[in-house]
This record gives sequence, C-alpha cells and structure tokens, in this order.
Amino acid sequence: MTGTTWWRALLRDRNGLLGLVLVGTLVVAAGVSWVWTPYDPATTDLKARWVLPLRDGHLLGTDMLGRDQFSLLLAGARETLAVAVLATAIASVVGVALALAATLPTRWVSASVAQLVDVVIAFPALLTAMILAAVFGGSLWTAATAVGIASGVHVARVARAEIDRVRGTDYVLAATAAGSGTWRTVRRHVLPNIASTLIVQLSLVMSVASLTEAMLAYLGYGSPAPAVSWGRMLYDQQPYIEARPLLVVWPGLAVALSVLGFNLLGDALRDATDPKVRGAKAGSGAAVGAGSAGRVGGGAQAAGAAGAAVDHSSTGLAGDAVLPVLDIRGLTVRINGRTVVDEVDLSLAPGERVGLIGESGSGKSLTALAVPGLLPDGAEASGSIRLAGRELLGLRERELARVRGDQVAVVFQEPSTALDPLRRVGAQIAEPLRLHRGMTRRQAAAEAVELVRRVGLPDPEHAVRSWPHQLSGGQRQRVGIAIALACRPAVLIADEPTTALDVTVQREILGLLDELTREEETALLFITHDLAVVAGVADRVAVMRGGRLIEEGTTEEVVRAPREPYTKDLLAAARATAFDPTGNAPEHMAVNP
Amino acid sequence: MTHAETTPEVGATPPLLQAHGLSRSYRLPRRSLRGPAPVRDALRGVDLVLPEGGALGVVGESGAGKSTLLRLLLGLDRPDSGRVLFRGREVRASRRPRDLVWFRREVQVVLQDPMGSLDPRARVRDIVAEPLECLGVDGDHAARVVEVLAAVGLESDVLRRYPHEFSGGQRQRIAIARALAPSPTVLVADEPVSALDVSVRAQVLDLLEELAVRLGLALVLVSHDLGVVQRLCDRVLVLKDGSVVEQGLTGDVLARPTHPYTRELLDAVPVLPGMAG
Repeated sequence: MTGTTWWRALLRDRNGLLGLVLVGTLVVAAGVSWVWTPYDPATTDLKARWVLPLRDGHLLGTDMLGRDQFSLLLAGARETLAVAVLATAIASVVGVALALAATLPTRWVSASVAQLVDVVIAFPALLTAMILAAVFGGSLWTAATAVGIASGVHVARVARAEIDRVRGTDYVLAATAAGSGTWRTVRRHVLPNIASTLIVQLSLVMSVASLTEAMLAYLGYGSPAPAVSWGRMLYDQQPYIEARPLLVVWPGLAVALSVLGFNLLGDALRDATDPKVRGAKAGSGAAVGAGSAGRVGGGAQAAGAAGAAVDHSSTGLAGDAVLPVLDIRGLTVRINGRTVVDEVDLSLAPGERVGLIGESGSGKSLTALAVPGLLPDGAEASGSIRLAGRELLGLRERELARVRGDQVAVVFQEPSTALDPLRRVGAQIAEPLRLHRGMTRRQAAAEAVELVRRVGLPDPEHAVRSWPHQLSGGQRQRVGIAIALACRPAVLIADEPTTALDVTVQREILGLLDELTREEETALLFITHDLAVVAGVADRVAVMRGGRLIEEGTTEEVVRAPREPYTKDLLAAARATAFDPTGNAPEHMAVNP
Repeated sequence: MTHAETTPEVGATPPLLQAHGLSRSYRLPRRSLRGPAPVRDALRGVDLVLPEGGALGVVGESGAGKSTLLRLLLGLDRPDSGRVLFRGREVRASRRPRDLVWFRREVQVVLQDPMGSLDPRARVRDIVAEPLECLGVDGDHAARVVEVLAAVGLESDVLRRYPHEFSGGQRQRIAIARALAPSPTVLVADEPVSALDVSVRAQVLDLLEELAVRLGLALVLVSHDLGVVQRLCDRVLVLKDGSVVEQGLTGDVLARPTHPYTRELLDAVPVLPGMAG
C-alpha cells in the first residue's frame, strides 16, 4: 500500500483507464497524422464522392468532395488537441497568477483582482472567442486564447478559495511554527493540497476548449479553409445531414469521446494524486485505523469475544410490567458490507435515562442514529427497533419523517452546525410544532417563546428573533434542546451534546437536560465517550466496543464494579486522566528541583 | 514537589521562557460606518515564567485568550505591548523565518487536532523531517527522523505512510515526533489530547510525561481539561477574558483556589464516582 504510486492507482481505476485510453488515442491520432494519413486530408477527389464506409480503401467513407473521412478525423485531432493544450496552459497561468495576486497581503491589490475576476467571469467564453475571431480572423489561437482567459478566471476563483482553505489549516500553522518560510509553505503544502482541485478544473478547461473549438468552427469562426478540424467537418457536412447522416456521426463522436476522455482522466487523476482516496481504492487503508481503534492499556483484547453475551434478564425491566418505550433487538448495521453495529439489544423504559458509552468507532452513534433512521448513506440496518410498540425499521422515509422530531428527537454534538445559519432561532424552534402539531404560525411562535424561556435563554421575546451566529455555543445548544423537546418526544437522543462545550457550560447543559427530561418523563439515550459526564445523568449505562454491546447495568454497578475487562480498562484510563478534586500534583514533578 | 518560586528578578541567569505584560487586541468587523471599528482585547497584560524543565499549564475556557497567548509565545504573532523573552533574548514575530531560527530550534509546538496538523499529502518521513529541513539542523536527518519516531513508540516502517493511515493517537505521536526532531528545550502543546479517545489520552499523556522527564523538556500545556493539567503540570495559570485570574503551584491552585472563577471551573468538572473515595 505504501508503495502505491499515483500512476499505478490511475491504472487500477477503471474510469481512469478509460480516460487514459481515450486521451491517449487522441494524442496518438494527432501524432500519427503529422507523418501519415491514409489519404491527404486536404485533397479533394470528385470521382470518389460519397463513398460508403469500408469501400475502396476508405475506412469511414468520403464526403461530398471525396475527402477521406478517416484522414480528416486524424488530422482534426491535431487542432482539437492543440486548442485544448494551449487553452489549458493559458488558463493555468492566468488562473494561478490571479489566485496568488488575490491572496496577496496588500489589501487593495487583492480586492481589485477579486473584483476583476468577477467581472470577467460574467463574460461568456464563446462570445469572447467570436469577437476575437471577428477582429483577428478565426484561428486556433483565437479559440485557445478566448477559452484560456475565460476559464482562467474561473480557475482563479476556485484556486483562491482553495488557497484560503489550505492557509487556514493547522498543518500550515505547524509548518510556520517549524520555521517554514512563505515560499516553502506554498511549494510544499499549499500547491500539493490544491493540486487535486486544480487538476479537475484544468481537465474541465480541456474539454470546454475542445468543445468550443468545434462550436466555433461549426459556426464558421474556426481556422480558415486548409486547416482541418472536427468542427469544420460538421460545418461542411451540415447541408447534407439528411442524405448522409453517418458523416456527421464521426466528427460528433470524436468530439464527444475526447470531452469524455478529458473529464474521466481529470477525475481519476484527482483521486490518484490524493493519498487518502488512493489508499481506500487499493483496499487496505482501513487496516491501521481499525486495529488500534479500541485498545485500552493491556489485557483488553479478550473483551470483545466474551462481550456478546450480555444477560438481558438483569436489565431491571423484565420484572416490571412497564413496557419499554424504545426496544432495540438484534440491531445490526452494515456499511459497504462491513458490520459496524453487531446484534445490539437495548431498551429504554419511559422516562429512563440510559448512557451509551464507547470510543470512536465503537458504533454507539450509529446505534442511536438508527432509531430515527438517520444513518449515513450506504448503511443498512436490520433487526428490530420498536418505538412504543411500533416497528421503525423498514418504515418509508415519509412515515419516518412523521416520527422524527415528534416521538423521537435528537440533540447533536456540534451546536454551531446543527442550526440553519440563515433562519431565525424562533422559526427553527417553531418548525417541528407546525409540522407535527399543526399549529398556526402565531401559535407556534408563542410556543417557541415559551420553549426558549424553558431552556433558560435570557430575554426570550428577543432571543427568538436572533440569528444562530449571534448566540454562544452554549446558547445554541440550548436552542438545539428547545427544538428537540418542542413536541415533547417520548425518546430524546443526545449525541455527545456537551463535547464541544466548555466545562462550565457543559454543567449547565447537563443540568438542563436532566431537569427537562425529568419534568416530561422523556426517555433519554445519552451517547458519550466521557464516563464522568454520563455518571451524573444516566440511571443505566451500556458499554459498546467494536460494534457490540459488551456490558450493561445500572450506572452504580458499572462504575463501581465493572464486569468486563474492557470496561475496567476504560474506567482506569478515565480515572488516570480525570481531574481529581482531592488529589495534588503528580509525583513525577519532584524531578524538577 | 516543592518548586522554588522563580521570579524574573532573582538569579543571574534569565528564565527559559518568560512573558511580560503581553497584550493583544483584534479589530472586529465594523457594525456601522461611523466611528472606529470595534476592538476585542484578546489578552490584557499577561505575565508568565517558565523555568528550565518546568511544566506550566494554561487553563481557560473558549474565548479566554489561550490561543492568542499561544501564538505570541510561539512568535507567530506580535503583541500590541509586552515582550516574550527566551533566555533573556526577545522573540519578535517576523516575516522572514530566518530571524527566528534560533528560537524555533528551542521551542516547538504540538497542536490539538492530529487530523488537521499533519499535511494529508505528505509522508510521515517528510512531516517529521520538516523542522530539521526548515531550521537547517546539522546531521543526518533520516537517522534523526527514525530516532524521534522510536522515541514516541513508532517503528521505522511508518516512514513512507501517509497521515490518514493512522489512528488519532498515532497521529498525535507523529506530531510529537515532529516537534522533538530539532531537539527543543520547550514543547508547547495546545490541547494535545482533547481530540483523542479516553484510552488513547492516557497513553499520549504518559508519553509526554516520560519525554519531559527523560529529555528534560519544559512544557507549556494549554488545556481546558483540569485533569490533564493536574497530571502534567507543576504550575498552573488560569486565564479568563484575556487576564490571568490566578497563578501558582498546581497543587495549591487546584486544592485551594482563591479566585471565584477558578472555583467555578473546578466545580464544573464532572467527577467519576469513586474518584473522591
């Protein structure tokens, strides 16, 4: 895998191979036509007009002037390739130069370059080409220049956005802190990381250029008579299209296949130059991550096998007559054939709070997200999920949408992205009310104010009118909770709801969740990797590892006397890094005199 | 345990890393056309001292000015007022990287997110060799890369791999190896474990602890996690709204906080049952 080079990856990619073959054919045809064509493409032979394909040594037949179509196609490849290459060269020079100028630290330069780019973008390439052709006469150069400049500004805009993105990354910061200068950073970090996007852009320029060349020639703005091009062939044969339709097919097919070739090759090059995608396609990239995903200290390795057999009679529910509000049985989730959640059983009584604990990759989030049917694309769930007795798995999207936000609601981890930045807070809280409760706009707005008051935002009347960006992280999470609880769901799923928050805010949010779910008797499924957080909220905890539920019990039992070695290690690791209110600074500090 | 109070005035040799009255404000986008653009004071007169081999924890919540302080301490940004001194020599951010080569050989950084801080297009070999190359460190770079990778517990078969092939903990080890490559005397770590799983967290902290003792590294640890600070740092500094509200020996500050904000911070930390007993 480490030895995979980009060209090997390219050859392994079926689309890439096809693109390579198509573009290769174009290049070979152009090259060959310099030294050899079956007939002289420019020579007319009026005795051999309209020869059908495969007759008299004409592979693709002849046209109304007796010119050999195959020879014309070969010679036309030169024009197409030349325009494509020239236009791309111009576009990359113009594009990268403008992009770099637009990211210069001098404000007025960068601002005016950006403005200029926006103006030029508004001008269509084809029109520019026609004007240039009208002024300077049609030629390969006018087409290439027009497409090159017009595409160049597009490339500039994309490249500038990409440069900005890369400049903001931590690895550029790390490079600067390691002493890397501006040019070295551009060369070593910025250019390689924008390359894939640029490759796709430039392959688009190639296909646009070859298409534009054909269009210009077809419209009569192409290179003058002796020059041969595919667009010119189309132009020549247009009057006879009804009598000899086949003659239009050859150049048309040639243009279409070239464009397809450039696009396929561009996409494949993008993937092949990206080590991440390249690794995934080679099919061995997951090995490292999977192997180390759930390792805790020593001795935890044996935990997985024993973990499958969790005794469900001990969950405290079976004895009571209370029916679970949420009952998950044998839930299995597969993503691309890989089992990520394996036969998980879990149930929640009304008003019960259960903590679902696990490290990244343990399947805890997927288990929870399977309930409202929010699994990522490509994931398949099987087994059974019953919500108040009703089977949710297998419901159609429309029916699930009715359940979501009404009977099951979710509070997400990242409050900054879970809210729509372009809608006022009040409208977002009111949405589920109008959707599921059929409230009028007025009723929902009034209820939203009440909800905002309940989640503890100051000045509710004013708060509902604010935009998400005007709120702090903690306030946004309060809004997220207000949205989730708007319809008084039977089950609330909280997916690491405090991980992105400060500790003082975390405490407030945990208190709020605790209070509100208690008031409404809402069952809470709280997903977290932090044992200390869950200990304060949940009645019961379930521990997941490698897609399996390996231990389950009351919070007290699990935290005080865990049964599984993995849980023990997890607790030990948590204790080792947790803040100890009674403790002092660690011993090793005695080393410093 | 007993750490002598190191004050800048005492002693003939200046302390390893020192900051005097650091202030930095940022101009915010204008809200209206009239009047000056609003200004946010990210840091107001922060003093700190890091003695040779010491470990200083910087604690605060988002918006407290941790990141700004970090940038100033690393010479990535200039303070509006105040100075950063390394062994008594002033550190001034400069556009020419050459000006700070002497400083960067001594002070290296480990950032929070091991996903983001490694260039996805670069091989481990090149990532770890980067500071050696940029700082023009003498000697066999390839051998040094293998050596620091071994120090963080990675075999030399990782050299030709790319960052995405590693787990979060392994990536953070690579980032630590990169920081160690030029044999610095100070390691500045910005939330080095907060993006990692609990189990991996302990391992990375163990590693940092071991390296600090073995190599005699001084640490500046920026973190919101008091557990991490408690474990690694002998001194702690609590930041709030750009100012230092409390500063002292870790044991003292965490056991007997004097500032109400520190107390609030301590109370907010969720505690595992069984920790106190």
